[in-house]
Order: sequence, then structure tokens, then C-alpha cells
Amino acid sequence: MAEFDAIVVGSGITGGWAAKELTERGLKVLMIERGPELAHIAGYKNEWTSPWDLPFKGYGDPKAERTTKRVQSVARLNEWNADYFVDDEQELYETPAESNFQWVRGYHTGGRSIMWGRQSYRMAPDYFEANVRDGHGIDWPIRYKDLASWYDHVEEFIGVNGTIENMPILPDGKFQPSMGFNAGEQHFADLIKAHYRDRRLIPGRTANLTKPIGERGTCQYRNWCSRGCSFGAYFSTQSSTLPAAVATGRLTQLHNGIVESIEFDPQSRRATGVRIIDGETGQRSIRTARIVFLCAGAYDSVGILMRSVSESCPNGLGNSSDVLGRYIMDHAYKVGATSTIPGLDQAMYLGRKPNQVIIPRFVNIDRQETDFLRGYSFWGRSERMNWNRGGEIAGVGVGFKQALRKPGPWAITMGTVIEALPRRENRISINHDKLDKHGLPLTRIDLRYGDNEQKAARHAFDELMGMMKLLGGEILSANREIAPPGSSIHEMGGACMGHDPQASVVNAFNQLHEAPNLFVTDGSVMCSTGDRNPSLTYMALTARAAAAAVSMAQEGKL
Amino acid sequence: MTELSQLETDRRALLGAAGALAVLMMQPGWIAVARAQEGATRRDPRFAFADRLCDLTIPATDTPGASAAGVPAFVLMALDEGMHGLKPEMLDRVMARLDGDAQGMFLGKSVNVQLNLLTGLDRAAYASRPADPLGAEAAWRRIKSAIVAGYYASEVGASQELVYEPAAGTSENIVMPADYRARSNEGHGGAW
Ligand SMILES: Cc1cc2nc3c(=O)[nH]c(=O)nc-3n(C[C@H](O)[C@H](O)[C@H](O)COP(=O)(O)OP(=O)(O)OC[C@H]3O[C@@H](n4cnc5c(N)ncnc54)[C@H](O)[C@@H]3O)c2cc1C
Ligand code: SF4
Repeated sequence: MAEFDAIVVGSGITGGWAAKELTERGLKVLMIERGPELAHIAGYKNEWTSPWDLPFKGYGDPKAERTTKRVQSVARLNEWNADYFVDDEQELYETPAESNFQWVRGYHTGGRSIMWGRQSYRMAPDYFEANVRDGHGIDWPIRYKDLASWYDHVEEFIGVNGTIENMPILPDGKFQPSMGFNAGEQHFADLIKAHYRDRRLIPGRTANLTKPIGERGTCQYRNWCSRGCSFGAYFSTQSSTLPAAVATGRLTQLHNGIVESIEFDPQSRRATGVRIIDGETGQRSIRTARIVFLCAGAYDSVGILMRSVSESCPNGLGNSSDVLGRYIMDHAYKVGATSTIPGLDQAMYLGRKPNQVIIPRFVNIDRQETDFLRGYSFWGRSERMNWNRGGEIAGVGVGFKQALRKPGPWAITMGTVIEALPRRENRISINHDKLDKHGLPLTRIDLRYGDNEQKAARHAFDELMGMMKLLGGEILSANREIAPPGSSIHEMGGACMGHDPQASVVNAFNQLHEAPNLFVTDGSVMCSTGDRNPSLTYMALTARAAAAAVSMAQEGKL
Repeated sequence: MTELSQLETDRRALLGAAGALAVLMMQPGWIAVARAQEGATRRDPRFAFADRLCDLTIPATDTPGASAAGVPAFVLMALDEGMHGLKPEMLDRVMARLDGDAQGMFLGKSVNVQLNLLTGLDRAAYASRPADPLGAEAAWRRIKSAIVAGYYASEVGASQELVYEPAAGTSENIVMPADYRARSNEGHGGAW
């Protein structure tokens, strides 16, 4: 007799959603989180800390940036939120020099939902068809219409603010009132509209509330969300899905429980539970359930499946097709530029808008028109330069100090999110010869960009320069080089969805082909990346899979 | 609305609790440790020079300057800890250059002369990107950035010289009033 109806592995963005949906549908759920508890409000120790009260005045411990936070620093790490990111010297992984994958993680309640940038976009209908059309990767077993109502469901619950744009390449959603543009962004949007027919700059869509939802208050425009928000004004597990799951009275939480592997019964071909290592004592134990949801974050979920080795699954659970761990992807990132915006000296704003602007994809929309496949989008934000510019301009003394009392010139920074093609040779494997401090063999991540991403990067850079020229300002910085993979923190793939059990790992409802009561619902199941932030899609997939799991269980199909 | 007011109350309660904790931490033992650290920094032979650079760059006006805001200690720490690529020898290079320009000890000159000398170095450093990345001009740019970063992240610079606004509570586009004072929060934690 299983202890629980369902076990959810991980309490991050997808684990929180699985816990909420499963408990609300009547299941008794155990949510297992490898890290310590990070409580809503009480856990946000630095939320209100002033910079002068921090040892390095908010600029971060330089020694940590070279050691314990060496990889994590590629994220928006600062002295307020540094503790939310893992210790690179403790949580080891391998990556060959040619890949140099940057694995950014947060091991605690809520996972990366605490630190995420909250940008929330739907994949375009076309993106679900790209693989089958151009022959790269595995064909998605679902299409946009299968997810549309789940996107609605998720958006209404988490609260996404945005504008209705009627662009097929960026489906609209159920939005709260948009945070809109500031003067710099509006000016750039107007220039682009006047000069281009194929593109548009629009306000970002972000999971910050412009209207309260239940206990969650509206955004106070502080733009320091990654410290945690005691107003509950942005979506995190803590502010949103966890309270909903707890309210059902059917959720049990277990912290410091590192899931090592899935317990699998080869006779019934069912998962029976999980094997756990206690993160504090090192003791191993087994927890059982009728259904398991794997939501540990894309590459940790793949690692757990690969470590689930038994006589019947010598290469890991779900890997008889040798597809597990393959087709890993991450958006190619960091190509971009910053320009000043002249002519807006009197325009100012109040509040620090925790949002950005975007230019959705405009290349290769109806036909193939470039020397690379698929495309890219731009994201960015405009602000007046602040006192930080003092280090970049001449001057000392009273006049210098007076000048910094006022905001500086307007500037806008734009960067690209480039779709990365799914490639079979980009893969995760396990190095059984090296163990981490918990005794787990190391995860090895080998993801390399190809010619397609490089060509797209060059195209994007040239297009961006053309648009920025319209501003008539000074280009303050420009970068043509793609950053190492992992830098966009949109790692995906490794347990891709598909119809064919010989060519994919999970089916259209996220069930492992080899163990139908095991659902994998994080980014590992993605068959392609699109060119936009993916977490909204992970949430929609998770909610859809949870509903399916409960129906199947009720019908005795699991 | 009710929920929001409740949240506001909770937030105030939270701030109150944080304040109480701060008072608890300011017990005599804590103060003694802080004073000892400050004393050690002041005894650092580089302190007097860093202190002059700070106050020449951001002097006292109707609000205290960088020296009173504790920035010299921050700059020395930033140099020693290697924050943002700073290196301890950068201060030596700037000192050697200013002593050379002063044809004697820079620190022995009057404030006006010091200001003229520093203005000269500053102009040269910002006229174009310094050719020698290890030279005094490049070093001065880095140190000046640290002075600016330290000042506007200090309580004085952030909340007296500029406006410290933890929660704006609103997002609006406005025409900038003549007396508008920049919000220090906008640059906190950023790169410098
Ligand atoms: C700074 C930053 C900005 C970002 N901005 C955006 C954005 O704007 N938009 C967007 O869409 N995405 C963004 N992301 C990415 C987003 O955070 C992730 O896509 C999302 O959190 C993935 O959800 P998840 O549940 O799969 O993983 P996570 O949220 O990482 O949660 C995984 C959880 O599983 C736990 N876990 C891992 N292994 C085990 C194990 N063996 N046993 C038990 N528990 C385990 C972890 O501790 C963690 O709590 C950003 C990320 C960061 C860091
Ligand atoms: S900006 Fe808004 S959502 Fe972000 S921390 Fe502040 S109040 Fe919360």
C-alpha cells in the first residue's frame, strides 16, 4: 500500500504547480525538496536591507564571485539574493571546456521561482510545428491548441500583465492591465513602427500583479523581486501555488530530501516511489506513492532518471531508446547593445517598473528568408542613467556632485533570445566515476551551439544596430558574441516528448513511455525552445499533465 | 482593497520587527567591534590619501561628502578585496602620479591645489579611453567609480544626498520637475 497518492519531486515553478493541481483535485501529495525550507516573507531576510547595511554595500562578495558563486554569477546575482543560488563548490557537475555550460540553480523551497525574471510568454502555434517542418529534433506530440486553455488557466492564477497585440507569432493571453512603456520605450516603439512594417516593440508580459489576487497585493514598483516579495506581488511557489496546495489540507512537505532515483517495479512497469538521501544526515530511505511527478528542473530530472539504474533499466529509467539526456537546448543569449536616446530630457518616471519590452520574432515568419532556420526575438529595457554614470564621466567636486543629483540621459539596452536547434549530440550523461558530496555520480552537460545560432546572432546584431540607429544616440556598448550555454537559464530538453517510444522519452501527457504513472513535467520535456522565456509553457504542461493524471487514476488507467 | 490594507499592516509589522532586531544588534559589544574595525582602517597608512580623494571627488555641500559617509574605508576594502577588478596597487599609481604632478607630496598641498591637480588627472583620464590599462589614468577611473559606488550606497549618499525610496508604490510617466532629486535605489547593486 503506497503512503501517498502522489509524490512531487521538486518545489520550484513546476513542482509547485503539480502540488497545487494534484491536491486541489483530491490527491494526497508528498512534495520532496532537496534544499532547506525558505518560508514566504520570513525567509526573505534581505528584502528590506539597505545597501549600507550589507558588508559589500550591495555589490557582492568578490571572493564568492570567483569561488562559491563563480557559475551562479551569470544570473542576476547580487548581495541581496546571493544566498538563493547554489554553492558552486558544493553542488558539482561536469561540462567539457568546449561546452562550458553554466548551470544556474536554486535549491530550496520554490526553486528558481524566487529569483526568476517573471517574463511569461506563450509559444507560438508555429513553434510546435517547426521540428517536423525542418526536420530538426523530435516532432512535438502536441500542438498549440492542446495547451491554449492551460495557458489561460495558468495566466489567470499567476497574474500576468500584458497587452493584447493580435500577433500570430505571440499569442495573447488572459492579462492583467499592462505596466506599459516609459517615455524611452515609447519613443523607440514609435520609431520602429514608423520605419518597419514587419516588427513591433511591445511591453513585456510579466508575472507581477497590477491588480491584487486573493491574499496577493499589487506590485509596489521596487524592481528588486529576486530578494523575495512580502506583498506576494510576483508569482513564486511561495506566494501562489504553495499556499493553494497547503489550503487543501492534503499536502505534506519534506525538505532536505535529495531524490536519488525512482523506485521502479519491472513486473507492473510502474514507478512505486522514490529513493531519498537525507541532505543533512546522509541516510537513505524510500517513500512510496501511486503516481510520481518529476519536477526537479530539467537537468536534475534527467539526472534522476539516469541514476535510476536497475537490471531492467541498465542505462537509466526511460532510456531504452537512448534518447534520454539527448536534445538538450538553451537559448543563445547576450548578443545586444545599449544606446542613449536623445531628446527626452524632460521625461521622467516614478517607480521602478519590474518589466521589460520585447520585439517578437519577425524573421522567417511565413517563408524561409534567411541563411539560418527559425529565428530570434529581442528583449530590453529603457531607463534614465543613474548616479552609476559618475564613474564613466569626467568631473570631480561640487559641480560633479550636483550633476549626479539629477537623472542622466535616457538609454535603452536590447538583447536577443535566439532559438537553439535541437541536436541529438547535445546531451547529458552521468559520470559514475566521480561522486558529489551526497554520494551521487556527477551530471555531465555537453551543449554546444552550432552554425545556425551563430548565423542568427550575426543577423540579429545587424538588425538591432539598424533599429538603434533610428534613435540617433550614442552606442555605449555592443556585443556580438553568444554567451556560453546556460547563460539564459532556459535549459531545456533531455526527456523530450514524442509519439514514438523509440524516439522520445515521454508521451503527449508527459508520461514516461516506460512507466506511465511517472510524469515528467519540467523543461526537460521540451522538443524545441522557441525564442522566448519558457516557464509559462512548463507551468501549462504541468497543469495539463496533473489533470490528465488524476483522470487516468480515477479511470483506473494508472 | 481590504486585502491590500492588511498587507500594508503586515508589512509595517514586519518593518517594525526588523527595526527591533537592528536595535538588539546595536548592543555595546557590537558597537565595540565596529569601532575597532573603523580604527584599524583609519590607521591604515593609505587612509589619509583615500580620504582626500573621496572628499575632493564628492565634497560636503548641503549634505555630507564622501569622507563623512565612510567611503574611504569602502574604497580601501574594494581595493584589497579586488571588487570589480580593483587592485591595491591602483591607489599607489594614482598617488605617484599626483605626487609627481605636485612636485612634492600631494597631501601636503592646499585643498585648492589638490583639487586642481586631481581635476587635471581626471580630465586626462576621461579625454579618451586610457591607452595604458595599468597606468594612473586607468587606475583613477576605477577608483573614482568605487568612490561613486561607495557614496551612493552609503546612508548619507543614498538617503540624504539622493532620495532613498524602497517602495515607490506607483509607476507613472511624468514631466521632470525642476527640483527633482534622483532616486538612489536605481543604481544599487549595479555594475560600476
Ligand atoms: C535569474 C533568473 C531569471 C529567470 N528569468 C526567467 C524569466 O523571466 N522567464 C522564464 O520563463 N524563466 C526564467 N528563468 C528560468 C526559470 O526560473 C526556470 O525555467 C524555472 O524555475 C524552472 O522551473 P522548474 O520547476 O523546472 O525548476 P526550479 O524552479 O529550478 O525548481 C526545481 C526544484 O527541484 C529541486 N530539486 C532538484 N533536484 C532535486 C532532487 N534530486 N530531489 C529533490 N528536489 C530536487 C530544486 O531544489 C528546486 O527547488 C529565470 C531563472 C533565473 C535563475
Ligand atoms: S517590484 Fe513588485 S513584485 Fe517585485 S518585489 Fe517589489 S512589490 Fe514585489
